[in-house]
Amino acid sequence: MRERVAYIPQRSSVDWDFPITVRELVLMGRFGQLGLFRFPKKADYEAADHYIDALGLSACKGRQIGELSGGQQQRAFLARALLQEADIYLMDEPFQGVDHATEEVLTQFLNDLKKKGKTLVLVHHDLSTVQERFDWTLLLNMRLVASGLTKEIFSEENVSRTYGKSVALFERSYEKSRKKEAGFRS
Amino acid sequence: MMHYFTDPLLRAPTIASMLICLTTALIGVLVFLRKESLLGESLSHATYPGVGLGLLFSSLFISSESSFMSVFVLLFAGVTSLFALFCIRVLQKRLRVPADASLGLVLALFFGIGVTIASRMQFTHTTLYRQGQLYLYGQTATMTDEHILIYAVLLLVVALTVFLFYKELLTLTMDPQFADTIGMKTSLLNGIVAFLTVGAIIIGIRSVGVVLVSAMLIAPAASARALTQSFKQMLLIASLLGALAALIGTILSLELSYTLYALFPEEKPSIPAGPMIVLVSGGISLLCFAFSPTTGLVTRAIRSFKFRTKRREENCLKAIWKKGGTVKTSDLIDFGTHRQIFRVMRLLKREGWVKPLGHGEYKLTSDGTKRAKHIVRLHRLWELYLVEYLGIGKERVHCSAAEIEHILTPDVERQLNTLLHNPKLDPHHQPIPSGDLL
Repeated sequence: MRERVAYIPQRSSVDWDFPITVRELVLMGRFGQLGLFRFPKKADYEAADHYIDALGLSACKGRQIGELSGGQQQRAFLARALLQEADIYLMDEPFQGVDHATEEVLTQFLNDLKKKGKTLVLVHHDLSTVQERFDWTLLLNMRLVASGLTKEIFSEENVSRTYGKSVALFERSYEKSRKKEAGFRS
Repeated sequence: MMHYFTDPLLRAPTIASMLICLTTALIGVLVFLRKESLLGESLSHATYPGVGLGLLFSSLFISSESSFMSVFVLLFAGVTSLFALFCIRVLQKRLRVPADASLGLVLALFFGIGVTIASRMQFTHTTLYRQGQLYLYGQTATMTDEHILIYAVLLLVVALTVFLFYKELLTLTMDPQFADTIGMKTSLLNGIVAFLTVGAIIIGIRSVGVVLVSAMLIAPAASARALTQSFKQMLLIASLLGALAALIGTILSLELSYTLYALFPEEKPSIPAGPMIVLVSGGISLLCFAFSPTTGLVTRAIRSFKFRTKRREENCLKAIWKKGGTVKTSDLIDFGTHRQIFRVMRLLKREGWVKPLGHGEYKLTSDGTKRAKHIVRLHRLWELYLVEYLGIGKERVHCSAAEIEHILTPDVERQLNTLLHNPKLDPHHQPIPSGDLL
């Protein structure tokens, strides 16, 4: 099961000072398939280079990840996920803080993946692009607000229920009572 | 110097110290990159009660002269250190004590227990107490050839573990969440890292001591990080720097001791090796920080000096060209002091861009003219770009262009030229020299 899931972390959770080059980062996509005590072979490096080229990162593949632009960083992580050749892709805000060009490249690759029958699950906060990009939407605010086909559930009512004040208040009092139950002092 | 590797009395301290510091440096890279440098400090201090208990325990079975005693000591030291790690994790995760507070608390608590045990032993087991002191500040001089063997084996075990789990350690350190998602057993791996860290510490305390061993974990790693951008290279460089610090530190401590002894024989001065190794390692770190290719102060100063020289060269070339190709050095006084101008003209002469005519007069060569025109071209292209595309008034673009003309690459030049449709005139109606000059 694990080999079938690829995960792209949120940009803010990555240590951008870590001494690793783009190529080494992308190669990590193969580590899951390799398993213990096996080292990447020539074919694995070639596969990594293939995705580096495909995402237009050839010029900076020897650079440390912190030296890249926001868009290049996001593409590098996408390349790593693509190299995993998974069936399910989990992405935590992949469109956050990237330039317009990268956004287009990302969208194109995600559409390609979808066409190949892969499942993509994204955390997304840009309400204006939800309808054009996603088939299925899950509205969450601490708990499930609505879930279903985007065209059916992505309504003003559901969105305001997700972001609305009343929901936040309810959640806060619920949280408080839960904490009291656990024995914390409020 | 070779006698430090061959002399039967000197070779054990030298070689064993090098093996020890190589091991701690290797594991130090992991600790450093996991941002747990202070954890090393706490765990090393937490070995001290173990040292006391180990000595007391082993004295029940074997004589205090046996070198097997150190095996017991290291074992007990490892146990108390692991227990400290456990306490830190419980404080942080279960009791929500902030990370820095729990590290400080455990350090003080365990070291306090160690000191208490030691001060009791001082009166009840005087010989053992003195042996315990070896571990507090480290003592390399008393190491024998057996120690070389012991520490070589330990290094082999540690290095082999790092090699075999290289992929996993890299992933776990860089991106633990990712390690989880691709099915790596992260809790097992974290356990291995914990064992390696404690292992490196108890290996290190014999050489540099409980108090200073965390320096030998962190200093080589920090130095290596300043020199490289690759994890693999960082492991190699840190190990080498660790071993190097041990070698230089051991030699320095002995040589300095001899020198001091010759000067003040009645005071019997001696420089201990452990602190010396740490000092040398700190010195190496400072050098690495200064000369780091990315962030080093000296590197940056050199780069800045080179750029300023280049700018002065280009400004002078441009000025000579504008003055019709021949100048006296006194005409260029706007661009620097006499000495700076003299130096620049010498550099330009070496490049073949100017020819001296004598009496402080210089003439542009044909290469020099091309070069000067190219700089003017960049300047005017940039002015045109600012006016046409950013809508900046043409009277305000000169200063920006005067700076950027020294920086623009051929690639940017080509792009500007295409963007502006191969222009012939700049915003001030001056001709832009054509592009095929260089």
